[in-house]
Formats: sequence, structure tokens, C-alpha cells
Amino acid sequence: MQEVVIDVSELAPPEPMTAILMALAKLKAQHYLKVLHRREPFPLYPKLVAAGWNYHCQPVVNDDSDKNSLDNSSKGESEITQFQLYIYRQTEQASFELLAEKLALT
Amino acid sequence: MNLSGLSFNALPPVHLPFRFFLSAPIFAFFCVTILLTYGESLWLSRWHPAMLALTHGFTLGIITMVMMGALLQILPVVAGISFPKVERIATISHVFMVIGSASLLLSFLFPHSLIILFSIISLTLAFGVFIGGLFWALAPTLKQTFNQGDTLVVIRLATIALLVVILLGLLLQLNRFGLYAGFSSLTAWLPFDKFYTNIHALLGGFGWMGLLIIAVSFQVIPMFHVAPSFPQPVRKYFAKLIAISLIALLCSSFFEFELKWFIAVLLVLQSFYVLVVINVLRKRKRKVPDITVRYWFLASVSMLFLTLLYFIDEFFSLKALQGKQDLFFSGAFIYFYLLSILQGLLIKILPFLSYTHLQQRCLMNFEAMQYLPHMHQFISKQQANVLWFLHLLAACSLLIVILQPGLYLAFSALLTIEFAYLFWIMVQTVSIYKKTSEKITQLDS
Repeated sequence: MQEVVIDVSELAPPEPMTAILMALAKLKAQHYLKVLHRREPFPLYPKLVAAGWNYHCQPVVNDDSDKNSLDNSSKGESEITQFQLYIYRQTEQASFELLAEKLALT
Repeated sequence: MNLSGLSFNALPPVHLPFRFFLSAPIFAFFCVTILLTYGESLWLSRWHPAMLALTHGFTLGIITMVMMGALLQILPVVAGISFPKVERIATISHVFMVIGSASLLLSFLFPHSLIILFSIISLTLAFGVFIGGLFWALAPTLKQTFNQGDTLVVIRLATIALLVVILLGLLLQLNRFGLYAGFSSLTAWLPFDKFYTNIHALLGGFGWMGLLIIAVSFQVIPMFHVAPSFPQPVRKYFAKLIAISLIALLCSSFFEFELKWFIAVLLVLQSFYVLVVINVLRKRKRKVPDITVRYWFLASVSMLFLTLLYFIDEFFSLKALQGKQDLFFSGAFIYFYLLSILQGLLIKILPFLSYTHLQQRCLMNFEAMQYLPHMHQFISKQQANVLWFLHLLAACSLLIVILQPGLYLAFSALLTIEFAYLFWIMVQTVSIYKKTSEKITQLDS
């Protein structure tokens, strides 16, 4: 499968959703969308599934400190700093699972 | 794929929160009617029945009404959790909230036992159903780890505060109904006097409303303004400090502490919070002019001034405020702090919710994207600016009328204009949403 990446982590709502919609509208067969997001877009999930897409969310944990946080006192504590959201067609589930193994997605 | 066994809830239909939002201006008009009916005499004392009605018109009919509607949407956004049977819970709690708040206001003005009883039953149903649903929705957050755990903890604390506020309010209202007459042992244990009314008010302002604003700000400020996260110690411990102060306040009847010391501590804590808000907002990445940011700054700076003035008055007894401190400080807290933040958030979430619901429909048919209006078509920048200006004028006129009650007509007029304009903006948003939604439906069929 081929990857299409969009970074919406510095966009204010509703721009991330606009970017995701535009990318999905153009997504070709055997391609998947990787969205770099600052938060988990929970309300999107059930709608994606209803529209024939599947998703997998991979939190990126920063063990040192939160680069987005104002304070330095959180150093040493792990905090999720980014989410990588993989969106693919439900009909391509088997291909994505193979890819997920390769990418070691948890 | 492993999704950690979690099932995520979609946003509830947009008409559910909008019902709550659209009801708020109606209570503002109810408040204007009270202002015009009672005139100057209303401002003589905070214990004047019409003043109690006015205060509840703002705190229950406007602020709590909007907060309940907003909570329906916040939980799915923050953690992917939702009220169970959200349509039914929202409908029941909204209907009884409107009836209960209106009858409570009337019960202050016309203390007939039937009106009092009606308000008790309606509000018990409204809050019973809503708080029950909220606790049900929050229950999984006790067992599972959520990424937004700090916010959920503060929402839990705010809900507990709301429960205590409502229980105290109902006990006070039952006393007015005369339930305790003849039970001297009970009334001796529970002195239903001004002391408990003060606790009810402080828990409502700093607990329910104050804590919920803090919880929501942890999410919406970084999200909407691409600002840094709040510092972790603030997210983790700050709301707990306020909660501890409020628990101490609740227990203060057993100690010799005066209420004013609790108020001082709570004001200092709130001031610290708004300083953090200012700092976070100053470091936002999107430094575009944004009216919601201006509302946050107005509320934050007002809170700092309010605290400063409170201490100046404590030490130097300001002549202008003599005998009017309670009204002045609570009026400033409600209008300059709570209402400013609430209105700022409304201006942001009304178009955002409408747009998001429409966008999600486009997932089923990408062609529908052509019908999506621009975000600023829902509420234009100019309209938002006008509303901010009207809000500032109304807020200033409230403080002036507290000091000079003869000017009550000015406050009544400005309050009417502000909320009529807000109501118009809301109706416009709903109308654009409906028209676009119909176009998408036609395309689908």
C-alpha cells in the first residue's frame, strides 16, 4: 500500500477535517492516508466507519517532555505529543494489516 | 486493528445542544422583564426576592443552560464518550430545565406554595436526569486511562459541585415550601439561613461554573487557537486545590473562619488561573485576530481587577462600595468573567458545531463539499465584534446600575440589545445549517 501524508497538527478546527476530507476524496485504491494530528479526532471515528473507511490511531509518546507544553517540570514524564491516524478503505483491511505488521503499529 | 476495546460515540445531533443555547436569551428577556417591573427597588439588597430571581435568571437560565448544552458535545470531542440515550436525556433535561428555571424565578416573585413545589419537582427532574446521565457517561473514565484524563477529572469535580449546589438549592427551596415547619429538631440542625445561601452561591460560581470553565479551557484553548498545552502541574493539581478550598468552605460551619477568607483564597486561585490563560494565549501559534481570544482576555483581566478591588476594599473599605460589596463583586464575576467566557465560546462553537456536522455528512458523499458554506458565513467577524462591544457595554452598565440604581433603564436596554443580537446570530446560524443540510439531503437522494 502507498502512503499519503497530511499534517494537520498546526491547523485550527475545522481545518483539519477539511484537509482530511479533501485528501480522502482524492485517495486512490491501495493507498492509505496518514494524518499527523495534535489530538485524537474521536467524533470522526464512527462517521468514518459508517462511510466505508477503517482507521488506526497511533499515539506518539515523548518520554522527555512535552514540546507543546509551557512548563519544563514535566520532564521525565511521558506524554502523548502527537497522534498518527491511519485511514484506509474497509475493503483493503487485509492489505493494511500486513502493512501494520511491517510498520510495527500497536 | 486493536482499538483498546473502546467504542467511540459520534457527536449527538446538533439540534440537541442548540435547544439549550437558544433557550438562554429567552431567560435574558425574562431578566429584563424583572428589571423593568421592579425598577430601582430591586437594587436595594441582594436578598430582595426580585434580585434572587434575577441572579437565578443569569446563573441557571442563561449560564447553566448553555453549559448543559455544551457538555453534550464536549464529552464526545474530548474523550469519545457520550451520554447514554443522549436524545432522550437532552430532551427531558431541557424541557424540565426551562420549566423549572422559569418556575423558580416566578417562585421568588410570587412565593405561592404550588409554584415553589412545581419548581422543586421540575428542577429535580431536570438535574436528576442530566447529572445521572453525566455520571453514567463519565463512569468508564474511572476504570480506563484516557488521553484527556486531566480534563475529565475536572469535569467530574465540576459535576460533583453541581450536585451539591442543586441539593443545597432544593433544601433551601423545600424550606420555603414549609416542609420543615414543626420539625424543630431538624431546623436546629440545618439552619436554612443566609449562610447556606452563600455557600450555595459560592459553590455554584467557583465550583460548578468556575471548574467547568477550567476543564473546558484545557481543551479548547490549545485546540481552537493552536496554543501550547496548559502546564502539566496546572492541569493535574490546580482544580483539586479549588475543590479542596470548596470542601473547606462547605465544612466552614464547624469552624470559626469567616466566609471572606474563603472568598479571598478562591479569588487568588482564580487569578492565578487567568494569568496562566493569558500566558498560554500569548504563546498561541495562530496570532490572527480572534474575537474569542478577546473574550478570554476580557474575562481574565476582569478577574484580576475584581480580585485587586476585593482586597483594596477589605483593607481600605471603599466608600463607593459600602453596603453593595456582595452585589458588585458577584455582578462583576457573573457578567465580566463567566458570561464573557461563555459568550466567547458560543461565538466559536456555534459555527464550529454546525460546520462539523455538515462536514461529517460529506464523508458519505464527497460531492456535498461544494455546498459547505465558509465558516464566517455562519457568524461574520463584524457580527462577532458588534456582540463583543454590546457585551462590554452591558457589563459596564450593570456595575454602574449597582452603584446608581436610578440608571436601571440603561442596563435593561443594553441587556435586551445584547441578547436580542445573540439570539439573532444563533437563529442565523441554525438557518444556514438547515439550508445546507437540505441541499446535501437532496444530493444524497
